[in-house]
Amino acid sequence: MKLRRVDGGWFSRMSKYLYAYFLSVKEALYYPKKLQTSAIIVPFRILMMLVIYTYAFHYIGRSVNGIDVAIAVWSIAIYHLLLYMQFRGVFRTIDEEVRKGTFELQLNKPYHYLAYKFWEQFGKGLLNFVMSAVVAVPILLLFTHGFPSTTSTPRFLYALILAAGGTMVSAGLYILIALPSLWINDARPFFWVVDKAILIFGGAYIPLALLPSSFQTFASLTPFGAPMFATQMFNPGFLSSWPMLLIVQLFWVAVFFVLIRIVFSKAQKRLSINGG
Amino acid sequence: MGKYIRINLAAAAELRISFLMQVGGMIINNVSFVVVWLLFFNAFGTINGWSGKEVIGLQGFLALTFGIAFAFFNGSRDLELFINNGTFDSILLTPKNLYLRILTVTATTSAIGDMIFGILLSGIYAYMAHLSLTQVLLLVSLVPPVATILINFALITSCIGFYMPDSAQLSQDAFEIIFGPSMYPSGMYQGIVRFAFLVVIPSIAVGGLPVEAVANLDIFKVGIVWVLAVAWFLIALFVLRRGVRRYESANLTGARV
Amino acid sequence: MENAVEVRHLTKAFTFPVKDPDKGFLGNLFSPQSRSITAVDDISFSVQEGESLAFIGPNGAGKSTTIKILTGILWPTSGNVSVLGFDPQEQRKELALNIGTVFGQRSQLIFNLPISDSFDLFARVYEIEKSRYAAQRGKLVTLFDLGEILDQPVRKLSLGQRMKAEIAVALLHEPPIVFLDEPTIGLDIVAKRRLRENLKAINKELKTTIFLTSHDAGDIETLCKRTIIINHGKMIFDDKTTNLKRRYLNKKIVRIALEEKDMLDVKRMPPGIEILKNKGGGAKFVVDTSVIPIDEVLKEIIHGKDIQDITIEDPPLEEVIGKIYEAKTR
Repeated sequence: MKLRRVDGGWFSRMSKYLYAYFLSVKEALYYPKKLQTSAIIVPFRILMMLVIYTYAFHYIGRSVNGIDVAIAVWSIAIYHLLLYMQFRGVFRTIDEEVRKGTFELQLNKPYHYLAYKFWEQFGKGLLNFVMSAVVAVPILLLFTHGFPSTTSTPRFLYALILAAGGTMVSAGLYILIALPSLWINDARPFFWVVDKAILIFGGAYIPLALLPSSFQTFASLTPFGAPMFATQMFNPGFLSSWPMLLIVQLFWVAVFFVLIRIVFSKAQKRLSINGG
Repeated sequence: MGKYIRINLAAAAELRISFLMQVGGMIINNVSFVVVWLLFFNAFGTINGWSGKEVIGLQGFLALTFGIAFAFFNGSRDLELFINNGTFDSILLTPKNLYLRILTVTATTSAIGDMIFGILLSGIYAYMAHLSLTQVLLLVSLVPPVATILINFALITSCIGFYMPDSAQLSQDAFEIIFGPSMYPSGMYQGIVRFAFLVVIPSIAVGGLPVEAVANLDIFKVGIVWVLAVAWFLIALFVLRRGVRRYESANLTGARV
Repeated sequence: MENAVEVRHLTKAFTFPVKDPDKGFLGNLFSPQSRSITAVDDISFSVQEGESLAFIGPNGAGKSTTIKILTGILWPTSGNVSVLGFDPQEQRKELALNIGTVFGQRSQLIFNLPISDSFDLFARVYEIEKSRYAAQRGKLVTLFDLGEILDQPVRKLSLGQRMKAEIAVALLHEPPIVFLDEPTIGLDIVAKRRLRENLKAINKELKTTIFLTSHDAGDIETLCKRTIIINHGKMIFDDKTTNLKRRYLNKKIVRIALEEKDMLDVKRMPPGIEILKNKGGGAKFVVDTSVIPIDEVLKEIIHGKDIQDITIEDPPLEEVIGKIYEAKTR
């Protein structure tokens, strides 16, 4: 028997994950209706927030905690756009695959299941992100008369770094809460709690800067605010606070990495599958 | 019709754990939304008569009417699915009023979570706002017309399925366009925006307007809600009739032979 | 010749939580009871390189559990398993590079994309060198007749086309052994026949070891020279497929065509014969060859009759297998 050995280099090993990413992006083209949703619904939601915040700020006649209508709405817009580059969907994928039995099919493949799901999920949101950004950004630029007054080039760079860090935190968090589906029938309660916590502490409808200080502290230190630190890019104190935010993200990425390794290895050992 | 509703709910409730999970999920979802708007008014204070208290009333009322509408009449949202998978043929063949039959074909258990949540939250609002008995009765009396608007708007968006195959996503998006803005405090909608979200898309009619009507015992606003309920009912009937005629003439490429 | 698969005293037990109806929800939540089920109970066997083996049993017998252990999905409770010289649990990735798996009811292909994309992906997953990939892909496309459907999205394929593609993808990296779990399920007769021919060709030309589970007797008879039957976690049969019938069923089905209006004389029938049909022009009956040899039966029948036609058949393999499933374990 001529057997194949594991001797491929780093590129050979990474190539399968990168190709899975590429095919996910390609597959998204086969859901044009979902793309059209991202081009309509997300910009519409952002526009609604623009209407509400414009009226609210106009009514009270002042900024709040240094935040004006432009900063508030751009912060919310970044949340909704970044959501496509995050990993909510990986929970449903893993949960579904465990229930349908396709999870076990992949355990005898020469790749790490979770790494594969990471790259697969990462590719799913790219086109939606682009579509919604292409529609939403010009609308916002028009109605807020350009970017907020605090805009500067370094902010974009730091926000990009935090967006990448936030993506990793989101991946770790959603993968971790998906793993209980290997033990229990329904892990959805974990998803709901985490998802709504991110909605509140990530600033989906109200920017972090407008929350009470206790909420802000909680959001800044926990993995519920960490996925969306990039939304703070236009906040007055961002340039001094961003390194700390990055440290928090890196901390949670490390914690989730360790936890996932432990939990997944336990899960594989205890795998109990129906049929025989 | 009552028999169909009972059968649907009994079948769904048999999956008890799953039922509780769906209900629980809806409650968590709704609570988070209330929290968001409470935080908003905590930052901005009262705006145009709207504060955290009114948001609680709005979310409670919306959850209640949404729950009642789709716990029993979820067929209005599933119509597109029936058209696409061929079930609509068997619906057409039942010797019942077509409109009612469509509405009652399916029920959804998660909407029961909305109902429970809505009742609780409305109760909290009634207590916080010190609503009189008249106001409470008025609130309750607005549930049928608002539910009517929700059901008929859902039906209209589902009728897209008569014109476009595989349009579930589009129907869902179209429904979100009414329901999304209805969850935001309507005190923020003024001028042309208010008109658009009252008449063109009845978002305010299903959420903010009833709450404002009850808070101020404003009969004029109550009247607007009822008029819009009748209007959307008639529009839905018209759109449905046109759609069914198109379906029956087998113009759909997806029609089953 | 080295063995492709070695299984020694393999046992797998599962533990399930069980609700105690007397305890109530909280009682069951905080002090749950559990029950253990032994899905695979001390089985041992070897499979030679290039062999084609049917590993069958009724639902719940333990065959899927065994396959999952062999392919590294599940971990055994006790016993030793070696596949291609690898320990499936400790050397999962090395093993994965060298096995192909097809699970009939669950697809590995990318649903919305053309088969060619799944091929390209698996080439990278299995780290196949470009030149080898091109050659092997060409061979498989020809063998499985995929040329015309290569650019079609998987969701648009018929079940037969999809199964061909699934098996082709599983063979892309030229695995020495391929595990097939119900590969012909849901296929029509023509599609089944074609698929079996392809698998036979692979076994013959490439010497690929085939490890098959199936409820279809045709798959077993056509593809597999050897059959192992497992029931209630224990092996109850391990022999050539041809011996399945011989050992378990001593019956022959005889059909005769007689002159019009002529029938068999039931009173003259010797013992060991069960009449299934006897009307003017023909008869069908079953002979228990452990009671009476077939030639004696024929002598009795032919005597005084004008036989127009006669066929003698073995009972269908399904019947044989069904009887084995119903029988107690050894």
